[in-house]
Amino acid sequence: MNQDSPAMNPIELLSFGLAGQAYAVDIMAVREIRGWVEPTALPGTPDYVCGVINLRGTVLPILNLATRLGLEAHQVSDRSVVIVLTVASRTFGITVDAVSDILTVDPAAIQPPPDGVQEHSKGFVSALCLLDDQMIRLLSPDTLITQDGALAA
Amino acid sequence: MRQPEPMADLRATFFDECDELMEAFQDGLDDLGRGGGTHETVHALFRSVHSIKSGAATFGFDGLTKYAHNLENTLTRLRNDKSLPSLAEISDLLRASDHLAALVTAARQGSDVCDAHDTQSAAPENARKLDIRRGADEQSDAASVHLKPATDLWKQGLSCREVLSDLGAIGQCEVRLDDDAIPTIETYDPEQMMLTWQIDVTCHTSPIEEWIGKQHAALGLAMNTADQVVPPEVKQPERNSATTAAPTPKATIRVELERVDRMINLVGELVINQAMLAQTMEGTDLTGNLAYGSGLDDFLRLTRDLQDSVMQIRAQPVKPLFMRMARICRETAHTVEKPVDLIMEGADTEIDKTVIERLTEPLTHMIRNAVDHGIEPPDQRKAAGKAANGTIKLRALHRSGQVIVELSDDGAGIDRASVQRKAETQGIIGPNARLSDAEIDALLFHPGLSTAKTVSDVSGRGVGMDVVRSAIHALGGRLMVESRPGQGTRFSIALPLTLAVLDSMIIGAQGHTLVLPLSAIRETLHVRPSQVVELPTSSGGSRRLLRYNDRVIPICDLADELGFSPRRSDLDGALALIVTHEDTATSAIIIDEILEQRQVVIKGLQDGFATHPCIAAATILGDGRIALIVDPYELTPATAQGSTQAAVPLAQTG
Repeated sequence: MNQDSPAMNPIELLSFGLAGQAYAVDIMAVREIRGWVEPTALPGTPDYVCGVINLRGTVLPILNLATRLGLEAHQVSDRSVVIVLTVASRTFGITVDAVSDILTVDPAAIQPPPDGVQEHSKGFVSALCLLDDQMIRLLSPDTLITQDGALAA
Repeated sequence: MRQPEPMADLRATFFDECDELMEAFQDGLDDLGRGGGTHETVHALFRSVHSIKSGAATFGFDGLTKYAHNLENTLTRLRNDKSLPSLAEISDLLRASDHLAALVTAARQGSDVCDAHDTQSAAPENARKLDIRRGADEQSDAASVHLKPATDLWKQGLSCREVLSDLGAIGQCEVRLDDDAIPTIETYDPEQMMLTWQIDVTCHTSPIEEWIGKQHAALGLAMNTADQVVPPEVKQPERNSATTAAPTPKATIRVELERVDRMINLVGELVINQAMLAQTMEGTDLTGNLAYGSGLDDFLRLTRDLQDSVMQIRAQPVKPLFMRMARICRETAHTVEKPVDLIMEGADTEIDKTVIERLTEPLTHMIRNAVDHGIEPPDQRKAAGKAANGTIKLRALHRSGQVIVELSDDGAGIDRASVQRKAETQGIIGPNARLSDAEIDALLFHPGLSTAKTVSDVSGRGVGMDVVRSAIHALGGRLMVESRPGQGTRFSIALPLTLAVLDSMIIGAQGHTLVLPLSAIRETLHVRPSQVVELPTSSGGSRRLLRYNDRVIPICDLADELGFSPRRSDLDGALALIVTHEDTATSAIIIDEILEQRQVVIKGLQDGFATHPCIAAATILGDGRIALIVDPYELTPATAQGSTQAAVPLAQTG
């Protein structure tokens, strides 16, 4: 990737659906996509931490993305999907309803969210991506674990 | 094997050897200090320093070579002197060894201290009493060379004549022959070189240094091996035993840590795999088949043996760490001018190498703190009726699957009033807050709090105990403090024995599978209602206690404590695990069922993210699911305050 002229390079996003809304993350942060397994509950953690699962011998924390984003009354189910992300050398999973597509997007199509929204969404959504017929919320995954000291050491 | 930089490898080996030699050197000094040394000990000291010097010269560390050389000369004098070194001399030698160690470290970091002034200024006392440095030799035209060839010099086709004539060419020589080592005629082996020379050359220093360097390049192997008794790496054991009567060290090899770690990981996976296999077998009707059953048992035993052996590779005695701490203690005591005796116990205790490495920094902080803050100045000690010399005790021991490292001093204890005042002025606590002793002690770990009245060189800059505590937590350990006014303070670090395996009891609580260390559990029992006492608490709830033998211990409902389910109201017949700490029952943990007893592989929770304090780690069970490992000591209300002893007053009511 060319750091000098990011505007010129299209970026790739993994888009997914959650509670009827469309979201996406930078594909560079995605390590793998897994089916749902019942995690082991972790006492003493915030409500959006589902627990931990065994990812080939390592202990992987799973965040309930819907709860984390404040989308109420949306439960994970057997049909949920776990997207494993690595951000700032930390690996964790987020639960989504379904993975949709890999999108190649021109950076020009990505806009910062309007003023005031940022505050409300605690910075989880860093930008909006306008495609033909839909608007995709671009998540900034690092905020998921750093905001409110979520998984901060 | 590809060796991109052979010299770098050799150099690394040299520094590893230096560490061992320095350790041997300090051991010897300790022996002498305790009055247990003999002349052989002095010889061993000499050999250690000589080996360091030879190696240093080979790699061109001039500063190190020079200092080691001077120290060697001093030791030669001691060796020739028939009496053992006095206590004052030993303490000088200790300081000299500290300096030598510092030079070794400097050389390792690539900054060989060549400046003779540095070397001199760092050891002024040494110079006065023992003339460890070269002293006048440095400026004038005299140099002293100690020549001790290898015993098998002749077998290697080398001769001393050339060496001596070379020296003669450099300047006027005064040669003294040391024939002490020549045995009696009965045991005399004419093929062995037993002579050493002490040669004082009148010349400029530089050609001598050059010459020594050259000789080492040419004669290097011969000159080095002559005295190498101490390094445990015995490449040629027969040569080693021929040269000396000192105890022959065991054969060792050096292996990259990474390889060992890979092996440990694999064995860990094997253990999980074995458990999975056993679980699968149980699901079939093969369990009745004797051959399968015994085969599986053998497999289990072998896996365990394998795991134990692999873990032992990583385990190392804490001795080098303690030696380093002794040095820091001496240095600090010297800086703050408080005489301090350091007593070390359990230096043979073995801990995982990683743990040892990561303990260095926190322990250094703690030692400095103990000397600077803990021990009072001598006059104050005398006024309090104590010996002028402060005593600091460093102790390591294994206890119930953990390693405990204790650091205690016989100083004034924590000045709790002062700590509280300080915390108030720094705004850490509100004015007139009423705190228990344990709460005040806990303030010591608050970032930014320092109790020393003046900021000294040594400590008191406001970084310290909080850093120590987070370092210990990062290792999966706990730091506890106990203090009695006027009698001293004791810090205990409880660390997991290894970072890898645990003998455990796997239990169920409200549908959740949890793991408890087996070592913590003394007994399991069914609770009878008559054993339970209920006490109201100030917060409006109630606290339940269990009568166990002649004591009363708190009851902890595990599922409730972890937030899995509300507290059960009826304890009749409930299953309780009696948790003991130092043979003292501290709590009864209520669970639903015991599933099995088994060894589990400890998997750390990533980056220690904020979870319940009693969740120590996790493991992967036979079915591939994760189970959490519970630290039962953290469950006990008393230990949550930071002192393991706090449970005692309650317990004594029984």
